[in-house]
Amino acid sequence: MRYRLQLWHAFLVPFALMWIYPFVWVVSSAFKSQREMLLGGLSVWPAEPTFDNFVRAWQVANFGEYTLNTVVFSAAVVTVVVFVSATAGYALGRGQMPGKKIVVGVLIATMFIPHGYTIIPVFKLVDELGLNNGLIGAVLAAAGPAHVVQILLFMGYFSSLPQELEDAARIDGAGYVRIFWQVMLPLAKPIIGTVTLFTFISAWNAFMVPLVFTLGRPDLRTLGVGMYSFFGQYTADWTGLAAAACISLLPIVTVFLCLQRTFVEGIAGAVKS
Amino acid sequence: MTARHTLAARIAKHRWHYLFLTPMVVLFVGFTAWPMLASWWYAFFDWDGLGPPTSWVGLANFSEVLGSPAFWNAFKNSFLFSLVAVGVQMPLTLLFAILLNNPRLRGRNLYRLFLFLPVVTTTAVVGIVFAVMLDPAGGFVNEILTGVGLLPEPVNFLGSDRTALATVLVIDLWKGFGITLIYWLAALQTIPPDVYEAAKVDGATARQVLRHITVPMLVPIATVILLLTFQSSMNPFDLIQATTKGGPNYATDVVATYIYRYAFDPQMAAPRYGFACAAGVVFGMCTLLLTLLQAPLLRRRYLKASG
Amino acid sequence: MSDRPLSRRALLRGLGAGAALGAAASVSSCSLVGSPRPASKESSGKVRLTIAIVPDPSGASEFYRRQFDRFTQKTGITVNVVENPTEQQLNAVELMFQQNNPPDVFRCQGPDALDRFSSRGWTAALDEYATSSGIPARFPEDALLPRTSGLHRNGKLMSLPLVSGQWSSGGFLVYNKGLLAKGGFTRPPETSEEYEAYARTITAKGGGKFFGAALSSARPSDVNALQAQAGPYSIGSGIDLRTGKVAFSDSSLVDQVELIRRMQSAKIFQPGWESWDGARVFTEFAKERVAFYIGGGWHVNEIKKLNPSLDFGVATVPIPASGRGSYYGQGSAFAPLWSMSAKTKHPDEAWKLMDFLVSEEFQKAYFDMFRTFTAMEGTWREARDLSGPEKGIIAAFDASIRRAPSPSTDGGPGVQRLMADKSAKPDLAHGDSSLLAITRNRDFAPMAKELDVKLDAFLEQDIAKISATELKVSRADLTYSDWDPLQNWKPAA
Repeated sequence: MRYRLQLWHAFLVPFALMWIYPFVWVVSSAFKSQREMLLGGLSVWPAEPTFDNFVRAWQVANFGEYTLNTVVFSAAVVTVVVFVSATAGYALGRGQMPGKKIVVGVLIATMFIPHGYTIIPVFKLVDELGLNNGLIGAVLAAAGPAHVVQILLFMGYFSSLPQELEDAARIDGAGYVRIFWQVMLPLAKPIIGTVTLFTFISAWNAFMVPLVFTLGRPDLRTLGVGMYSFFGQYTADWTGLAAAACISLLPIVTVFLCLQRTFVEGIAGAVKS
Repeated sequence: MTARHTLAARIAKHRWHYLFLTPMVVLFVGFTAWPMLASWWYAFFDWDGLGPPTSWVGLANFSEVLGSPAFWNAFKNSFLFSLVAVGVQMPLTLLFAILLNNPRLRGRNLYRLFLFLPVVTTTAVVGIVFAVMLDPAGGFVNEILTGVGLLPEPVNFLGSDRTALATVLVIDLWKGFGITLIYWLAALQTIPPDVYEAAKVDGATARQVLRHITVPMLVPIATVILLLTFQSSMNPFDLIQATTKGGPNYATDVVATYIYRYAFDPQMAAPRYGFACAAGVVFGMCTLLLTLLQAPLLRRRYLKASG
Repeated sequence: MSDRPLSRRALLRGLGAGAALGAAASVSSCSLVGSPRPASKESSGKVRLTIAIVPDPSGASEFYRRQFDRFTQKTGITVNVVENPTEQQLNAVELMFQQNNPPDVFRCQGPDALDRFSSRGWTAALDEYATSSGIPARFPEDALLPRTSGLHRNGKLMSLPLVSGQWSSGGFLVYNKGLLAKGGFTRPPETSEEYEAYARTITAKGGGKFFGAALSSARPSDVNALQAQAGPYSIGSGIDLRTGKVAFSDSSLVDQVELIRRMQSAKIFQPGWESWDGARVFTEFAKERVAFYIGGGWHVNEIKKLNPSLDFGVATVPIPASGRGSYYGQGSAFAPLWSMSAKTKHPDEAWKLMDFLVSEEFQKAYFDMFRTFTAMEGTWREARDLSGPEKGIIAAFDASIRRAPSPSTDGGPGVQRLMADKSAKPDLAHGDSSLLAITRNRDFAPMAKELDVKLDAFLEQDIAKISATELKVSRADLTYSDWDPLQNWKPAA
């Protein structure tokens, strides 16, 4: 049995290598000269490794500044999404109030409607609020649209927690907010981890929203937008782009490694009880 | 009178719940409901998206969308993406998850990381890499396949309208594989190890364990994973822009690229935002309708899952 | 085994925590809340202008910054550069205007964009500034006439050019001398028959390692280039401007689609072009995989950057064996590029920047850096360091481009609206049908006929619709009966 299990490596090792080949290719292109990348074929090892692409990405494309903006933007989006979906999920999961079914129904219905093209009305709204040209506007536009799956995850989890837990806390004199904050929310850690990673990945790579909402303030742009400064109308700086992709990948791989365990336990928690 | 009274009392009783719901509702109204209603309104105009819409055209945009074969082609392709995500990606990732969940498998964390890497790789770069790899003239995939005699001649993977859609579907599968895999790994954590121990003591084979323990115990959580996978499969926009831009001959066009072409594409001399909104509305209505047809099933499953 | 991954994970976790801390600390320093428009006057009273550009071609970012530094040294006016991804430039500038935070000067990417921006009153009329700064003297005598400049809207000068009119109007054949020789040819193909025959021979010789010809992308630019040498260029977009009638079925178009279709079904072209982006064809050429293809001005410099030792040349696009029927039609003296905001708070300073962008100094520097033929011919035509291919471009352009009428340049707002409505409907262009004919090996003629019927009905309907408003348009606006496509066209006085 044990021996047979390790036989799987014969399949997994080549499979995994094939799987990440495109990724390795990106990393190696980041160290190649533009010429070598386009003319030199698919050799993974750069003939004359160079750091020029990273220097260019860092300086010309402002990637230092953009990385900081992206961290702030993504962290803010994650905070808002976690807060909003946790509170909403708690109310929907624990309360049997009138209108609950309607709210859940409407939420699920909107899940299936495409959102991409609604950016113009959203832009007008943020503009009216006077929040354009700041990261707040971008954060609102990214975090604002209902994150239905996230809400449903919290809702499912909170509804599965035993009523006695709430009752006991109330007997101890805890109010609604304290029960949520000190008893229930800490129990929802796995869900928080899941929602954080999920939201973080999409915020990190977001393009349209941060572009549109930082038009007048290019200094506030994020990596997802900055990446596109390597695309010209007729030409593209592929190696610069590859270097930029590597820079933007590093933090997110770090986050994945940190959150992997919480994350894997995440959804599990939703149905554990 | 009494009905109203009790309703008011019930509302008052749940005031905290309502208060907790407020942030979500406020954001929902502002960022989901209003943009949606606004785009419904715009769909009745011949409008380029700037200034106030003035040229009312009634249902003309809708009838143009409904009568556009290109739209239905995009519609069909959009559903194909969801179908593959749910029908191929979900079972396939489950098998990998079961394998990688085995604590005795060495290096499983490394495998997980490797399978996850495509998820976070920038889509624009993915497009370039695959264009080079799949090149019909000298791309290494074709070189290998023709070299070992699997193919009589190189295949124009992304350039032929017969193979482009399948190719993009596979790339999409590659890109989304890791995230569904992680969901399944999470799901497998919900099965207590002692169940397996008991099965082993009873002398069950690996296949029996899979069929009689693993799969049945995963059913409730599968609904959640289905929702997550379905939702992310609805938006293959970035990947398609990076690989084929919907071509060739619209073979890989999906609704998102169709809408984008009319609303924002710089190749269009004058954007037709009103028309794009109409296309979005029609697509939304159709998906909603299809969802409602499955609603009883979904609801039952979901309630079971969360209850 | 289990210890090492753990400690690595702990290390990464530490890193993650550090990153989170850094983020928290930086929130205070980063402006999270939207600020009012950035102060345009600095404390010293100096003016700060905003310009919206695209970082294109590669290296343009650094180039513009250097140039604007020089501008600042000279004038004391500082320049705040907003760079947008090329594909998003127009959307971005439009939104900036909507937000009442427009740039003072911006790249207005081409004629359609200028139509949109000027019709909203966003572009400043430059006539007075241009006259007082002596701009007309920098260009040939008849270049800035309102009816043909391409820079005017409603009789007012609304934009200034970056590149020469020829540069944005025509293409040429790029050929690899070594690969031609491998096929036994000593010169590039001159007729479309030779184009087919040479390509066939070379592809057969190449055995999959190199090819006779390549198409540049799924867009019908190759068909249109060949068409313009056979018949009036406007037939490429469906209208014969000599008669004002729909003309997709014209043999000058159908023949070219049939030629390409024949070559495609005989597997003569390098495969895969259906999904190529704009940079791919010259990359393949630089890799010495293609003997010749029809390219555009900017390709030559890119090829040289990629493969400096490549021995290649530039020639005119092949003409029909029966002889030239027409030329690339240059519908305007220039393509518009630099525009000034009508809402700028510092029009005088913004004009200085505009003036700088069409100065000899800037345009020469631009040519030297990117080898793009700029709007001021003097900066490149007689340049001493012109390469062989660059001299070839000049010769090819002079031999294959003629001035031609263009309703949207020459006509009033009514016909401009008509042309804009037409190009907003991709199904009224032949691109989809001809691509289908070529890739699926189908007859193009019946599709062309169908397109003609569709386009004719659209014109009828849209003319009626536009005429119902205060704008005027008729078929006569699409008719230039005095135009001989073999001559340079000039509007009758």
